[in-house]
Amino acid sequence: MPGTNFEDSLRREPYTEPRRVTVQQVEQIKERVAQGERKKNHFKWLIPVLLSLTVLIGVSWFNLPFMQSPKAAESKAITMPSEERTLRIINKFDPDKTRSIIHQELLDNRQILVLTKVIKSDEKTTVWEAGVLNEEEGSLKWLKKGEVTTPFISREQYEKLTEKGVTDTLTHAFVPLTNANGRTLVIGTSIDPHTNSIDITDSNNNVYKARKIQASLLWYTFLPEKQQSQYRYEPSEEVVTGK
Amino acid sequence: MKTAETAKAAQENYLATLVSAGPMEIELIVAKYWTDIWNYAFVLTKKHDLADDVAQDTFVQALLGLDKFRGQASVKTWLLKICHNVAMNQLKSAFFRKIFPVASVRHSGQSASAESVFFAKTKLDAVWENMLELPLKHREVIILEIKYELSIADIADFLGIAEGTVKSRLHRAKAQMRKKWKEEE
Repeated sequence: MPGTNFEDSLRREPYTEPRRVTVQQVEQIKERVAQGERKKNHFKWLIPVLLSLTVLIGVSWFNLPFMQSPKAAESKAITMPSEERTLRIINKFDPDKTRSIIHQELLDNRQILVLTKVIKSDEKTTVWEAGVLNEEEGSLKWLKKGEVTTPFISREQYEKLTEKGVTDTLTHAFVPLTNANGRTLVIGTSIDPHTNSIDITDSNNNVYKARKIQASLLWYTFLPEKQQSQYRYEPSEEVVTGK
Repeated sequence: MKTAETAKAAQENYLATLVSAGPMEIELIVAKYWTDIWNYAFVLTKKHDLADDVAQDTFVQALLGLDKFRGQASVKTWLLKICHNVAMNQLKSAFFRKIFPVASVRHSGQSASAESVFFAKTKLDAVWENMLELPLKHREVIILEIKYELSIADIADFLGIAEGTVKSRLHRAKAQMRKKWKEEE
């Protein structure tokens, strides 16, 4: 073994011929350094661009509905869809080609009240639906809450009814709604063409006027939450201008 | 001797002022330190081809990061530290997914031939062979102290470990080397 101790051997080269760098290796290093320099220069303008993009993405992210605080989300009101869109949404959940939209209005920032009419030819009835479009995860979902049904009547029957009064044909239904600010929705129908509104009187003789939707038999209103039996309903010819 | 020291100090100062190296500086730095860095890479990896790659990567990283060299350590120690990090990263990877630029891909036939020619006319020292059988953490401290003449404190700083740990590793490494030395005498 050459040398006087292992330390001397370790101070020398491992191989009898030292491993020298080749021209090719030097050229490769030069090329890679040159490429690296070009990349470094790219980064100089790329970094601010990437930073701006990150900020932009961050801002967009926090603007998403699920990233907003409940207060902020509440403050952003739901947009009223067109009747065509509402119909498409409802038919997606409960398809019916005869359905038409009678009325839609904002209940609160997240709910739209929708009243519809569905013709049931087989059953010879018309079903008047009340439901809400709820905004959930950025899309609108249909929830049917209640309905009233009116039978088809012939012209003869109609004439007879108008002669003797149509009070008996008045229908109504309470529709449970959540987030209706402590109110109860009541919908109903009246086939009397002379009736413009329905008077609803509670046990304390407080009168609430239900609006009859023009060109329709349907009427609806919101009432203070009480026992349903505490209300009575009467047709009225008084025109109601507001709800 | 004093002139050599002065020249060395002048070069360290010169490198400390550089933020990027041109082709001339690259040639000078690589030619001067290649063997030292290749030897250290070989100690860490125990493979010729891998030592080639680690040494090359070390110089590329160092030359690209010249602006980080502030002259606190010698150029050699600075390069050794980069070499250590490059080698550790390579050893940690189960597979080396290295992507070579097309221009740098060598013809396998030529490469094998060049390497076989080199290693045919050279021979690995028996003591080095014994040293390479030591565990990585032992051969690293022993080579840094004996071949590269780093102090215990410098090795501790270099490896990011306590001086006591360096001492105990050195003690064990040297004991193993002495044992092998005696066995072969």
